[in-house]
Amino acid sequence: MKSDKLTFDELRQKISRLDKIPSVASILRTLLKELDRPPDQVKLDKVVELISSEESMVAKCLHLANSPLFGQAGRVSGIRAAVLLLGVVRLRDVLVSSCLMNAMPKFANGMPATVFWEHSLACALSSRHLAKQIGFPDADKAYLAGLLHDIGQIVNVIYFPEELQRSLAFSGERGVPIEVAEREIMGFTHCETGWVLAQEWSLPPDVQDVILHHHQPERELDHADLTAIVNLADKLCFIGGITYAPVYAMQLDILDEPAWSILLERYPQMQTFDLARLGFELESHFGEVREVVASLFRV
Amino acid sequence: MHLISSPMESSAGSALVRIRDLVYRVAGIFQPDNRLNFLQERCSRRMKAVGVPSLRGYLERLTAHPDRELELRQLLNEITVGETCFFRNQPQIEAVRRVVLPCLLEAKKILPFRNLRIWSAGCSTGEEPYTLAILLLEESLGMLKNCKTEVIATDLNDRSLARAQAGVYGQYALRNVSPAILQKYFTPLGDQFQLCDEVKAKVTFRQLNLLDDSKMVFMKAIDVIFCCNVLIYFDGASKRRVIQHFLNNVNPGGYFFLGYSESLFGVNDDFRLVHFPGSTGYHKPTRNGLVK
Repeated sequence: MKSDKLTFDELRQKISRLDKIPSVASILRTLLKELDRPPDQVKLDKVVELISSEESMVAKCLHLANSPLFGQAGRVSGIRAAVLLLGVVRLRDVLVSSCLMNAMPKFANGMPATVFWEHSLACALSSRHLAKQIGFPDADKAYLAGLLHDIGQIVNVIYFPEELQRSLAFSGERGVPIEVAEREIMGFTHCETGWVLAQEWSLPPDVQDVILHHHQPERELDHADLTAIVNLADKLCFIGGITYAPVYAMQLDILDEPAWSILLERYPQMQTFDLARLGFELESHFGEVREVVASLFRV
Repeated sequence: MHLISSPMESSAGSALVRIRDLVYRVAGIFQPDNRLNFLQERCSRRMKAVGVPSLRGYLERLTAHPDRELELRQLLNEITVGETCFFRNQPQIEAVRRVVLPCLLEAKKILPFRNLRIWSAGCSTGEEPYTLAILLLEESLGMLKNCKTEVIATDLNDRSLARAQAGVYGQYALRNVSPAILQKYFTPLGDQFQLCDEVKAKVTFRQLNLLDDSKMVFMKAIDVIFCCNVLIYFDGASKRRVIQHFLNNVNPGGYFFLGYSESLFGVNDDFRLVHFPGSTGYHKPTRNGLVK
């Protein structure tokens, strides 16, 4: 796999055959399944047991649960307390965030785990914020989808490190988006490798959709709103400099974005949306995310 | 937002958020959640000055007191005080250098004589127009080769204009200037610095009231307008009037920049908000409606 371009099926085979993604993924799969039940049917003991089985996750989970991002400053002392205090949805956010941190190798070439994680978390918060602002009914799903949208980069860092480095360099030198650079260098993008991993992890179908299409939020998708929300959040994170990709000189006009038109069709009240304020608010989140991630990676 | 923050949960916090929203609604300058502590600190300076002990009381002062308009003005002064300096908003300057200038030059490529006019509207003591002039000079042998450039700087206040024209600045105003730029364009003058004539020659200063319709119509063929922390002091109708002028003053495809965390929301939809890496600005669409 140097310059040869792979077909999608070949790619899928290659990744499925190998098994280098950290084991934490198996916990994630079971956890998501458990936490996707209606709140009154979630078996909290099972959740506590699952988290406790992975020591590195316990620390990250507690740290995250106690961070201002999740509004429980300093009150959470154990996993059981975290489960009770946070509530099922917030707990899911904390757990998936922790899992994702563990899945990304800490010292990968060209993609430091902190930077990847800052972007993922910022995109999660921005997606949720945007979802709430426009009246999308499941803002927490937007958080989850934003958090996981780039998991393809976990695959790329592990399986295609050299190609990923070249893609990042190409993106910076030519001033093109990372997915365009990846397509040019590798013949596939992190959207596709992410989709393979999403299936492997049995992520919910709407999240899978976002992972595969977040750079092409076409109208006819089953989950077009959610994909459009994450697409815009991702772009705002990029232009705000909270990204692992090189930020090249560019101008982003949100009103010209296909994702904006998709959302406008479904949420006509967005006609009078205050985009300037959204920008200021997201910038404020980015500051927090940087602080939280910096403190987390000292754990 | 439930994400943060401790001050928002208390009743003083909710008064603070209401002050934030009032300032945004009336003046168009927004303090996001991570700047609420800053806003609180600025409010407490004013609370001390007028002898109001609580944020709730101060909110009342801003909304129900006979002197409310004056007080809001005083608060806005506190919020923007000390902001003026050379290279104040670095991402904005970078956006001009890396995105705006190349875009404008590309559009002017077909013209036999290329010129570029930047207007600093409400230039105060000159830090902003001189920063822009330095930027233009730095690019004069590069992308601006064969392009005539000028900076027009206007302010209502004669005393500010006189200080601007003198071009003498202390270290505080120069805190963001790199040593290389300082050495190239400034000479020490006691404990201050004198700006060199090359930069001064690039800027034309004029006294102008942005609400003077008869004069505003003569500001023509501008490529980029900067108007930072000026419109926040105008009421809604005046703001709309000035922005309508700006829209006429600026060439199709031209740009308009406001101060940090200022917004045109609810004032004008014809300027389109655009994001640049780390900053935002406004763009006047070209005649055929294409923005890029």
